[in-house]
Amino acid sequence: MDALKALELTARVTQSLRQIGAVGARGAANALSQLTGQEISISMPIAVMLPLVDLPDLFSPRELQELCVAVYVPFEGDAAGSLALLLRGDQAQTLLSLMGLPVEGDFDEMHLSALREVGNIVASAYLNALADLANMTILPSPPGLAHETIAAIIGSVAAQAMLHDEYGLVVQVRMSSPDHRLTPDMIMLPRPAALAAILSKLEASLDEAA
Amino acid sequence: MKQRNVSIGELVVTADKGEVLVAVGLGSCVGVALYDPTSGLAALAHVMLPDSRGERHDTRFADVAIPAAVEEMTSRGAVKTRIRAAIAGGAAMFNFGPSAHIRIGEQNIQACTRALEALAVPIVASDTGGSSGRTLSLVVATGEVFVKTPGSQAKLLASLAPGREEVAVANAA
Repeated sequence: MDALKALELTARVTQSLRQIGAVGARGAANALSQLTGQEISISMPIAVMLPLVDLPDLFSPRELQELCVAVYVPFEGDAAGSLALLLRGDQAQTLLSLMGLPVEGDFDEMHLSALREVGNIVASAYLNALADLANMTILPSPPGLAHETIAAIIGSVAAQAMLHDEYGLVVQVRMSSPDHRLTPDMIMLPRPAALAAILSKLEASLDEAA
Repeated sequence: MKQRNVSIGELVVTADKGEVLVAVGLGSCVGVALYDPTSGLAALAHVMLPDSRGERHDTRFADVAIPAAVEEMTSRGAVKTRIRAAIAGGAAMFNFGPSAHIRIGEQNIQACTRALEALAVPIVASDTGGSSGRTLSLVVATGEVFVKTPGSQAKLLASLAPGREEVAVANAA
């Protein structure tokens, strides 16, 4: 794995990863759109490779202290890694009320279960879109849910990934409703070992399509 | 007083009485606060993973960060037998169903406890496990350790400077 330390993402690889992120995010945005009845757009994805210990640097110190609801979905198969859906501030409340489950005060069991399910549906849509694109099998695990500061969530996600890898690939994309009340972030951490496999399959399917 | 952030994987040792060392957002990470009341030296390690397996000298790992903290404190004038510790964190952040997900938080707590025991540093208080993230602060001037969870006020976890009575008992012994 040491060879990967020296891996710098070339412009071409970065472009492919952003493309992957966009396809996944479009799948996720469609799913979210169906759940909320809102049109959901996506930002241009960011793709970077960085030491996993620096993962919190993707957020500002102020953002790190914000509360957020996170759904975390590890996945395996032809590509392994994890995917997190982050609903910052009161977006989880906004999402639930759009789904006809308004929140008064704290989340109850029903709210938490609904959020977990939303995360499951949205993450699966992302991974399915990616699997279809690259003609791969990707198997999502049952989702984990947390309501915590972004620092605690990102630190835990990074620690989990560091059990396998020193460096991580991050593909980050923001979704947005027309009124910007709902702007969830999706962060995918494919394991670097899967990078070559993803890219070769992706290029093969893009060639076919062309 | 000035807040000094101890970011993930970092170790800070200081005797600056104007500082409060803070580890924000301890999820599965563990904050290890060390204090020698006599020299006023304080250390805070924001431990991320349990075991370096001897491969890397890196303060992200409990087995490296804790001995490194004690060593730096003693090299700057602390006395090892006076150092006391408080730890917080090690939560299982994501509430998974019945899955075989590796519990890093739990492993981190065990590794920190082991490393402190190996150095004979007593753990005066701990607030670990569960599913809540925490923020730990160590007030260098007083040795007080506070823990805060989201949506609630900071609570005093421990004072690592012994009170007068405790000193009297220690002297008598």
